Amino acid sequence: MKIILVIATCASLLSPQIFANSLFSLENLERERAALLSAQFDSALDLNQRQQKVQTIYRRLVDIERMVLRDDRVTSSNSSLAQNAFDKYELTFLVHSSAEKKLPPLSHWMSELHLTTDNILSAKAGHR
Amino acid sequence: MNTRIIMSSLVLAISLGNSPFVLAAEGQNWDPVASDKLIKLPANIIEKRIQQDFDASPMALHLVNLEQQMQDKLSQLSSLQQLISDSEGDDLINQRFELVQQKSEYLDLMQEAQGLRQDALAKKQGLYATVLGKLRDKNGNISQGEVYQLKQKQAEARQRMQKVLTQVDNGLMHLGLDQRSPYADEFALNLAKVEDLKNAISKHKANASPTLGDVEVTSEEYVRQLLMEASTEQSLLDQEALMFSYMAKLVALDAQSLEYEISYGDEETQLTQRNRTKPADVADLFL
Repeated sequence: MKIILVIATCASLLSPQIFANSLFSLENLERERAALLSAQFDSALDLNQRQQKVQTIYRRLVDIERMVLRDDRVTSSNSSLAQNAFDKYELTFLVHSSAEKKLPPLSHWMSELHLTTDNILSAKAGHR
Repeated sequence: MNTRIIMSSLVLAISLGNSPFVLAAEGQNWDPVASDKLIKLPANIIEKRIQQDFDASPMALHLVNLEQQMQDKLSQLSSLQQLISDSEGDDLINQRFELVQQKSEYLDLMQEAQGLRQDALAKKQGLYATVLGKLRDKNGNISQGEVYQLKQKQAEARQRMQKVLTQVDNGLMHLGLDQRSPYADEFALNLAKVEDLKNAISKHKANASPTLGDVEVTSEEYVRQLLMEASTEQSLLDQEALMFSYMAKLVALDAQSLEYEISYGDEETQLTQRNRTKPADVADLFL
């Protein structure tokens, strides 16, 4: 009887993640990445402010990307958010994928979305 | 006359009893089920669990009982053979009759045990086949599942990350962020301990993969091996059944020969010369 109780207790210790939000780390990552891109394109910031803000977010992104890649709960959920995140590694894990290409994260992000200087310059403003 | 009737019925019983299979009697059965609980056990434990279940079944207990009876019968047969070598005349005939009868009873027991073993083996084979089918289904479902695919993608992504870890850390230093984050510090500290714990788990005997010889194999391979062993056992049981049928045939021939001997006397008796009065012996009476 005691053995059964011990096994049952161990089993409950083995699966604590079922009570937690399995996508918590991935949602954090999405928020930080959005914040990085917003800071990069924020015209209200001067160069120093932008650099300072981007560096802080970049530092956090390094950690969060690693957390998501090491977090088994993310993939256990089988949510469309997780599917999409791993289908688009280049865009989701911006810091680590840009390091592979030896590009700054913003340049890497723009090249993945095919936002080149020529494309932007040839673009016309108008209504859709 | 009475002995003749008994002998005839004995010969008939031995001939009829020489069928290859006897169904388990009522209440001496074994009905194993390949439950989900069984499938979840490690493959080498599945084998032990099935054997344990069989050992506790009425069929196995009856087999043990039969084995004991057969041993007793063998002792009686040895004693009888000893007696026959020291007997003669009517005693000899009686002892030989007793020997054939005991042999016949021994064969009855053997036949019943053989039938039970065949039955148990067939059930065991069916059970292993079901376990193998369920294991294949389970592995198929896991490898085709969306969660599995997603986990595969995460593993690939992790490998990609691992390759640029140093590069990214160096990038942070270039940016003047040379102080490691609390997460990075704690993670590095814990990592070594995690590896130690993982090693301890992989070396734990309760987590060991089944082995064939000294080679680690998958559960599926192990169950396939069990099925092959069951086939080997089946083949040997078939051979034993053949030996058993030959033994029954020999006992039947012994009984038949004894019956002829009791009915018609010793085959060496010269019928033509027995009780015959030769003319030469009586010729003197006519002189």
